[in-house]
Amino acid sequence: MTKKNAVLAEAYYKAMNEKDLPGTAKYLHPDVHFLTPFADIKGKEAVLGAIKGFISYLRNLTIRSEFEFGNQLSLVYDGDYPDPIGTVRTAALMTFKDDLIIDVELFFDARPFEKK
Amino acid sequence: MIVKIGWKFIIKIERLIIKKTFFLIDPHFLLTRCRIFYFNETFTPSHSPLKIKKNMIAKNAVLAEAYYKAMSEKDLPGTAKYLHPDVHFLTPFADIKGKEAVLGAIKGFISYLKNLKIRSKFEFGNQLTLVYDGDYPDPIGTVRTAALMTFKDDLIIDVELFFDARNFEKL
Repeated sequence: MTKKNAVLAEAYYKAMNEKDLPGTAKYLHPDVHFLTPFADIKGKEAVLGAIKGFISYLRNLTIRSEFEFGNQLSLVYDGDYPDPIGTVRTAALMTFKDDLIIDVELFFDARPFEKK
Repeated sequence: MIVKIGWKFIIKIERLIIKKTFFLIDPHFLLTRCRIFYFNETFTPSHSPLKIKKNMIAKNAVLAEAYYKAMSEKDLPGTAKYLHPDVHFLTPFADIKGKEAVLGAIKGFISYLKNLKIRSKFEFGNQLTLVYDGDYPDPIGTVRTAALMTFKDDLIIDVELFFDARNFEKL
């Protein structure tokens, strides 16, 4: 079960990296909660709206570290965005339910995004 | 009871390793069992070949918690003793190396800190991630933070913090 969560998380971010919104959508629970410095939203459709905006800027995403315990997983990745944003170091705390992502909490410095 | 079950499990793992069938063991399961030992504050099986690995994992978590406890209590010398002389400290505000320089940054940080509550903890090998809420005076408020920590020689050699620095611009 735990390994499955890591596989799911990596597939989710791979789809995001490829700007594949439907591919991202299939890993989200209908009641997914998404908390970032910019948004605190709930529900798959609303979350997909936020992800759509996010991936429109994303150039590349490189996962650096991955830790898991039970139904939770933490990821550290570098998001690469066009200038003037640049590389944004990010940590994600993800929770899984029924083999789907039910909660995503992102930790990053939002200041670079205010430059755009 | 949990201790006894856990102890028997370790014995079983040892026997499997002796038979060179360790590849059948899910490493994550092994690590999580070790963590269960730690969280139940159980004994250390002194003759276990897994002792070093188990202790290492538990030790890093203990060190990280003690480090943040000292920070929460504004105890700079208490914080200092967990830092490696060559510690690297990366935050949205700073990218510094060396114990003295890092302590200078921590000194500024803890002068604002009111409370620090660890919410989640993950560890693997010599690394550990923590998620905590830092509580600061108004207008800053609560700052959700993630920390990626690396250990060397039982000391913190690398700390990478992830938080939205805009919170501190309110000052």
